[in-house]
Order: sequence, then structure tokens, then C-alpha cells
Amino acid sequence: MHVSNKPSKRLLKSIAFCALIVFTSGYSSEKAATEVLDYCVREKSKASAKKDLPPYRYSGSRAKTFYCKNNQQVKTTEIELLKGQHYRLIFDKAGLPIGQSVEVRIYDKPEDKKNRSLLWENTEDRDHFVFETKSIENFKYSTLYVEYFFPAYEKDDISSEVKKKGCVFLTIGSALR
Amino acid sequence: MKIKLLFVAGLLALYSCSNSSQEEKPAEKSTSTAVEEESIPEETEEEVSVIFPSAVDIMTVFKQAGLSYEKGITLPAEKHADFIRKEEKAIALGMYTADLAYCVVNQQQNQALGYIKAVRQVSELLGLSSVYENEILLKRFEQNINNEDSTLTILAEIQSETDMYIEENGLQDLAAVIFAGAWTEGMYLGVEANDDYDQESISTRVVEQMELLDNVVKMLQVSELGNVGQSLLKDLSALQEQYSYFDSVTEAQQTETIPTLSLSELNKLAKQIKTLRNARIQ
Repeated sequence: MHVSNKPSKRLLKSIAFCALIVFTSGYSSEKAATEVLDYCVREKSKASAKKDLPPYRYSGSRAKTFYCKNNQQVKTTEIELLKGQHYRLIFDKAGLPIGQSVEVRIYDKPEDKKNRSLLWENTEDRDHFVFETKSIENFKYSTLYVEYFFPAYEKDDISSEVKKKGCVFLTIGSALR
Repeated sequence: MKIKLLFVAGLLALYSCSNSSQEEKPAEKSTSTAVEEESIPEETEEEVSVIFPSAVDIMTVFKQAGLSYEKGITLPAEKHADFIRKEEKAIALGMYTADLAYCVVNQQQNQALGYIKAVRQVSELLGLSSVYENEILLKRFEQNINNEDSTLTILAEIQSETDMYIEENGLQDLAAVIFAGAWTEGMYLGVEANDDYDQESISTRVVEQMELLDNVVKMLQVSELGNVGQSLLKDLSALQEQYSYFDSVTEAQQTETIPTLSLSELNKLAKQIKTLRNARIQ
């Protein structure tokens, strides 16, 4: 009986296939827990807002970041203002993943106050929109509460393995001279 | 040999699969996207964030209230090397930012040049060097030193670059300490250089700053602080408490109006602010 020292073709294929399966499953499980797709484009949003700032001068900025979810989310940014001054607020939502929308509302008081008033809300479906304190007669507020309402993500491609992250970028210009 | 070939083929197949899956996802939007790997807690981003006024804006309203320039009250620019710990440097950066704004809005060009250098040096020590990688901003600042409007615009650009760097690198805790330093120095300048101006105007601005302090304290409370930051938080909280007991403040709370601080209250506040500020620069 002839016994060959060389492994058979079938055996070689089996070993390679098993190695591939083990390697692939290890790779996938590692990725599954950690992958984030970040759609926030801060530099682009900043550059876009810069064009709309003059004659106001840059005073501050903040990206409101979030993860796309199957449920609605509300997030708030407080803006401290100096009394008697006027400001321009420039919102840029180029950093939203497709399928994710946002509604921006500005209030005079925080969410837990019953008598808060809605001062402004964005009604235009554009990536870029502006609010000016001058648009409100006798503007006297020292704090504004910007509320970002993120409805549930419209697409069904979110999973525990891949999370989608986005942002709305807010730039503030002051009229102080 | 065959094993090696099969294995390499397997790896190539795997690489091409993973690559194509990465290319497909961002293609749903024309904007560039980044794929990063990180551990994701349920909610990593903070629920409430605060945007404070810039140091330039604060100094401008103090000036409008009658604040004048007084030589020798700012933190000496050459002292920047004395701050050793990270949080000491962050507080110093905030203070120098306020001093720089104070000099610019009061047309003190030579002093402003010294402060922009101090701001840059402390920023670099804090790891914010990339903000100043572009030398053009500083050159423009020097070239336009006699033009207040231009220098203020350049300061705003530096602020914008710094904000972006802090945000992209998740340095919000550090930013809270920097702003607390700027707030301290701004208030110190506001009360130290107030000899000749209208009490009502300064009271309005001081009250406004005390309202800002509420959020400064809140931001410090949610930040991870070391001993230096904790000590500043403790002192600022004590200042907040003293202010809340002022007669004018308690009366205003009852009537839901804005308090007008008496001269005695302003002096008490000024004394505490000076002690608090001087403890940070020794």
C-alpha cells in the first residue's frame, strides 16, 4: 500500500477554507461592535457659515452630534448672549445622513419651564438656514435654548454593528463693534 | 505552496469584500464621510451644551459700560512659563485671552502683541499647536495691529480655529477650564478698572457675568477635573453663593426683575474676585 507524504488536494482546501472561516468570523465580530460612520462635516459646515457671517463677527460655534436611532431624539444647546446685543445664528445640516431629518426650534426658556415661548423654528427644508435676533421685536433675552428635534431615522439600515453619526453645526455671529 | 496560494487568495477576497462594503455606505451621500472604529457607549455625546460669549464680546460690553484701560492690572505676558500643570495652563490661557481682548478693545497695540504671543505659547504647551500652524494669522495680526477692526476679526478667526480643534478632539473639559479662566480675568478687569464709571452700567454687566457664572459652574461640575480645576470650581461656587445672598439679588428674585447691585455689594464681590484671581497666578 502506497502512503503519500503530501497532503491531498481535498485536505488542503479544507484547511484553507476553515482558516478563512475562522479569520473572517473573528474579523467580522470585531468590526461589528465598533464601526461608526460619521457624517459630520465640521470644516465644510464652518466654511459655509463663514460666508454668511458678515457683517457679524464670529463669536462661537458648536456641532450638535447624535447617533441615528429608530426613535425620536431631542437635544439642546444653550446660548449665552450679552444683553442689548444682536446675533446671527447660522445652522448647517450638511452633516446629516440621508434619511435623517431635523427640526430646529428656539425657545426663551428651558424645556422644564411651563411658560416658555417658541421664538423661532426653521420651516425651510434646506441644508443651511439663519436666525437673526433682530427679527424679534424688542429682543431682550440673555439665554436662548436651541432645541434639535431628530425624528426617528427613516431608513432601516441601522444595526448594532454599524452606527451612523451625524451633526448639525451652529455658528454664532455677534454684531458687537 | 498550494496552502499559501489559497490563503493569499482568501485574504485578497476578504480585503476586497471589506473595502467594497466601506465604499458603499458613504456613497449614499455626496459629502465625504469617515469610517472610524471606537467603542460606542449608548450615548457618548452630552445632552445639553452651552455656547458662551467670546472674550472679545465680553470686553467690548464692559468697555461700552465705561471700562477704561488701566496699565499694569493684567496678568504679565512673560509669566506664561510659570504655569506648570495642565489645568494651570488652561486657566492661564483663558486669562491671557481676556487680557488680549482687553488690550485690543482699548487700542493698546504693544501690549496686545505681547499677549497674542503668550496665548500662542500657552496654547502650544496645552497641545493646541495646530491652531497656530498657519503663521499667516499671526503675521496678519502684527501687520494690522493699528487697525482695531482687523485685529478683532483676526482674533475671531483664531477663536474659530481653537473652537474647531477643541470640538474635533473632544476637549470640552479643557474648554470649560479655559473659559472659567477667561471669565475670572474678565470679571477681575471689570471690577478692577471701574473707578470712574457709572455704577448702574457696571452693575448691569456684573450681574450679566454672574448669570454666565451659573453655566460656567455647571460645565465645570460635569467635567473631569484635577486638583487645580476642583479648587477653581470650589472658589467660583463660593462666589456664586455669596452673590445669591446679596439683598439686591434676593429682592430681585422675589420680584422677578434684574438686580441693581449696591456699591457695597459691588465692593464685596470685587474683593472676592480679586482674591480668587490672584490665587491662580501666584
